[in-house]
Amino acid sequence: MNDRRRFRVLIVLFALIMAAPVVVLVLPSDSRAGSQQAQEAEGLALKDWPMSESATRGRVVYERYCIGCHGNEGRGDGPASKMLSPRPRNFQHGAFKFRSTPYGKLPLASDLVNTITWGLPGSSMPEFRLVPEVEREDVAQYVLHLATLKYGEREVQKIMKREGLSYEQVVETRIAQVKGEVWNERVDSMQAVAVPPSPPVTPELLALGKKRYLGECNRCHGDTGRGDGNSSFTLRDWKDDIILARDFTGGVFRAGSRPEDIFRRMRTGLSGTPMPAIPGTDEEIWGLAHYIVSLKDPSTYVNRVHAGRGVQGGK
Amino acid sequence: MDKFNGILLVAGFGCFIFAFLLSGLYPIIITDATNEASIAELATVILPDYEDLRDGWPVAFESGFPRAEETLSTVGLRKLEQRLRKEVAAGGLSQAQMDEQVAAAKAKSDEAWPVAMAAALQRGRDIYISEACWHCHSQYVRPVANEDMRYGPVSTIAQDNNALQRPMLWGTRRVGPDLTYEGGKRSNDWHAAHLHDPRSTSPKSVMPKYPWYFREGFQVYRRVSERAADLGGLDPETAYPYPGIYDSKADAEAAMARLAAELAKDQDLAPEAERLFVGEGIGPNADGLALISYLQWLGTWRPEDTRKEAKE
Amino acid sequence: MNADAMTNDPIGKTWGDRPLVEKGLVMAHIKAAMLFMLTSMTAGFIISFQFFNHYPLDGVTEFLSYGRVRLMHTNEIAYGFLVNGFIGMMYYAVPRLTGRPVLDKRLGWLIFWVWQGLVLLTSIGQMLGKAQAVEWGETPTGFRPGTWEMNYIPVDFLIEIGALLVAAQFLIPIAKAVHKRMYVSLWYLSSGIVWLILTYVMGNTLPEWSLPGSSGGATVGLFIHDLVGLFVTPMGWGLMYFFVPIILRKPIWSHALSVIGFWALAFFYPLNGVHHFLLSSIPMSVQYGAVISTIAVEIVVTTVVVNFFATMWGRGEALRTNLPIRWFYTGMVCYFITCLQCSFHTTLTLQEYIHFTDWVPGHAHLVMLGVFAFWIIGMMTWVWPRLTGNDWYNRRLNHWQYWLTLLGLFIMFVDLTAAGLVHGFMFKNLAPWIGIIEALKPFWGIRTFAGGMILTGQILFFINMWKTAKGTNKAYDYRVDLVATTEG
Repeated sequence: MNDRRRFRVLIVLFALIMAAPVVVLVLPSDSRAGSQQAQEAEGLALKDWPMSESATRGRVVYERYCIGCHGNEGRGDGPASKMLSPRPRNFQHGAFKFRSTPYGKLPLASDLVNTITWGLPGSSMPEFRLVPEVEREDVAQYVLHLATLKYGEREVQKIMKREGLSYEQVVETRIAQVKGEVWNERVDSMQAVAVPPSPPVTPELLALGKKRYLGECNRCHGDTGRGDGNSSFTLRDWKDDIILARDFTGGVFRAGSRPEDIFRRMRTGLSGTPMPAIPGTDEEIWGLAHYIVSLKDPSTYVNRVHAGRGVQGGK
Repeated sequence: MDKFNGILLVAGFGCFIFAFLLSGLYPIIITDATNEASIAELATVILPDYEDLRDGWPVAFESGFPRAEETLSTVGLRKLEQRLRKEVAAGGLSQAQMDEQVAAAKAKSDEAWPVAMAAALQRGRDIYISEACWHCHSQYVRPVANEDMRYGPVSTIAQDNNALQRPMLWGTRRVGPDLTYEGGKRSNDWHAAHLHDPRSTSPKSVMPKYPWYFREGFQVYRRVSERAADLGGLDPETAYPYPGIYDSKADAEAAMARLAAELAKDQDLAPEAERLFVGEGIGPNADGLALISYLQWLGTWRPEDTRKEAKE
Repeated sequence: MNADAMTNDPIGKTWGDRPLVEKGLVMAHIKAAMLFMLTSMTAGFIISFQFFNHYPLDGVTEFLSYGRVRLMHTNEIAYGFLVNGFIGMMYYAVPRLTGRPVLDKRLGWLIFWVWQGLVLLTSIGQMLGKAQAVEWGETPTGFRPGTWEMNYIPVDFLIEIGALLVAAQFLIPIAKAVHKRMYVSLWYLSSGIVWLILTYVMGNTLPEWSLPGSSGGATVGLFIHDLVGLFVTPMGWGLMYFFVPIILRKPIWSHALSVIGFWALAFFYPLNGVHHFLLSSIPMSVQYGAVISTIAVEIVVTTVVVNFFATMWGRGEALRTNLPIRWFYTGMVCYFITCLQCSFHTTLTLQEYIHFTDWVPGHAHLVMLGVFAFWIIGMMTWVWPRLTGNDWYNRRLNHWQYWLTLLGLFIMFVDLTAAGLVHGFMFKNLAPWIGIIEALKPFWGIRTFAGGMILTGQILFFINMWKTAKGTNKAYDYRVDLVATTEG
């Protein structure tokens, strides 16, 4: 009988060891990433902002890949963000550096997909080119969903003031319409800045670019393009974070290093940074673009272009 | 059969020796492995990522590696030049003197970099071995299974012929991705955040945490300006860290005082000096820096394939 | 080898004024083997939680991080469990086969304590981060990787000295053996010891300082497979050729086949190792050599499998009545599966998919646990009551152990093999990495469950051994041997 009892003890022991994996699976996992602290919703709450189907799917993908740095609500405040410099983007603010749309506007979904696909070399944004394209497009939609929130909020407040409705009433009756309007105005009607074909690359074109460069660009980027202009260490982005002017001599650019990419960058500017959209004729800007790309290796640039090797594959 | 036992015995050992010669020495013969690249040789190429490490966590970097305090990053050199240029403008220094000083600092830095990085790479590799990172991360790209599309060019016999691959770290299992060409793929900050808690950057990762390669200490912060807070929808208490984690509060405060004095010299930056304060911070220690620099080195050394067949 | 010698238990016999078998040494090694097996399995069980982010010590302490504990898992099994188990069983078998005791009892105790110390030093060293980057069977070199800066006790070299002592203990009596013709077990056992020393110097010590990159990889590949093929395999086969005839009380089916198996092992096994790094930068000629000789070895392995099943022929009832034989039989079935699997997956075609995946750990668990550990456990089940003189404390526990271990192993093997295929195909289809990890997590959960079953089985066995040794039960009835095969 005694034996039997001991035997039962052993069976219980066995059961306990068996149960261990089950128990820990039920316990809260430490793998849940998200906002360090969810901020109080002001104005329009994210949950009230209607999501498209694509964005809803994108949210799932976002939680799998992006949430660690960009945070639960896309404010750029994920658990990893405190160690990253530059900081992860705050999507809700709506300032995106790399777009093909004019300064201060929202990017095209395809711009976001480009950034997601190839990452931003030199920053902490890795490439996600192996994530299926559909998923990347869905995430882009979700990011646009986050970025349009503030416009929606503005509209909702306007309606509340104009028609004397409460927030709940607006959300209940008018939100779909607001969403449609905002989306129409801010996203669907957005067009890419035109990139005309480059004029032939000649020393004269480069000289034109150089003249323009030494007129304005050198203040931040320096006379030799090393990013050591006089005001280079005083630059701050819109969040008051220190930002360094790009060193052109390294040949590393965040989003594409072909002259076309540089041309587009100058036409659009980098929203949220001191880099403005550059006015001027296409020829001037092309000259500038070629001049900047040539800074990595100025002496041979023209020859390389004509040998078909000047334009780096980039991405 | 017993008559042949002696012969068989010799043949049995012969087989063992033959296997060793074939596997161990044949690759040496065809790669000319006598010129295995030493760690000092590998450390002569200074990658931008090393410079970024030096700028990002200067205190740990300078205290962790030999001659590290003499090294200057591109940004560091730029800052030095700019400072001297102001002195020249103020008349305290001649242009020739400035050029001389810059050249001297650069020469010293160029000499110190390889020494510091050789130590860092070796230490990083040692940590890679002792944490047995190779259990879950491989270091060779095969010519099959679309691996070259995923990771990069197929591994060659020449690129493994270096002192950091002795003992070799190919690994046999991939719970995490291949690291052959990891260098430069991700930023130092990303690696730091990822090593500290892998789930913070990749929420679904199963990698263990390595908090012991980090140190908690004090850091100099700059409170965000009210205008910026307004513009960016930020909490006014938000602050941005200056590089450098200090072990004691006193050290951090001393650093803050130095920084404030420097800022006060510049008209544009003077208001910032008032927004400085000391808070708690976290960053990699010397071991963490060594590991990150090893990760950033991986795959950057790409010698030509010296095999005959490859040349043809 | 006459039938009379076979049927007699060597325990209690004397040689001059010395006992033939040093009972204390056998027991000590078995106890040590069990202890290391438990610690190793616990380590393996705990770290398997890391795969779904529930490893309790994750990020807690540097010394018990995942990677370091995994080193303990593989190396305690190699040097703690397998070597102790084999040496213990050799103390039982070799005197019986040579007809004279081992060289010296005091040397035996010296070896025992030195060896346990070395295994402990290895584990402590690995906790401190003094590792070697060898897949399994590594010990701290005592030097900073690739240099001559000393940073720890050079366990690497001490292990070689320890192995030399083991060689002296067993090879000298074997050389002096009174029997004119050596039984095949002695061939296997003595060559196993010699190969261990050679392999160790060649594959574990040498590459650290002298062979970089590809050649180092090839040599380390040789080492990790030679440790299996030229040490564990001959030891296991040698002991099987001893225990199976003794338990079944009939000679093996074919002595010639066993000798052919031995020489084929010696000729084909050494080239195998490179198959751990197929499609790497090792020259293709060496890789093809490894693939061909691996396939050849599987044919060789069939000799021992055929020999065992042919010996079993007509004694099928022993499977039901005799637990040690059931362990052996199960191990032999697993051996056949492993070797068949090996000859397939070593081909470059399958390597493309299954290399770097969970298929390989599945295979490794099947061969180390399913074959060699099963055999050693079977031998322990046979030897332990004879050593203690007590009957098993509770025979049902033995059966529980058998079924838990077998089921756990089966689940683990099928699960990891399936996980390997999922991983391999997703990988080739360029699925994002995190997607693969997500797909594998359920498999890893099941693996932990299976590991729990195996661990529980061994805990039951340990308790059973403990209680048996305490002697609360009735005395072991030696007449059981003389009746039929109603053991277990």
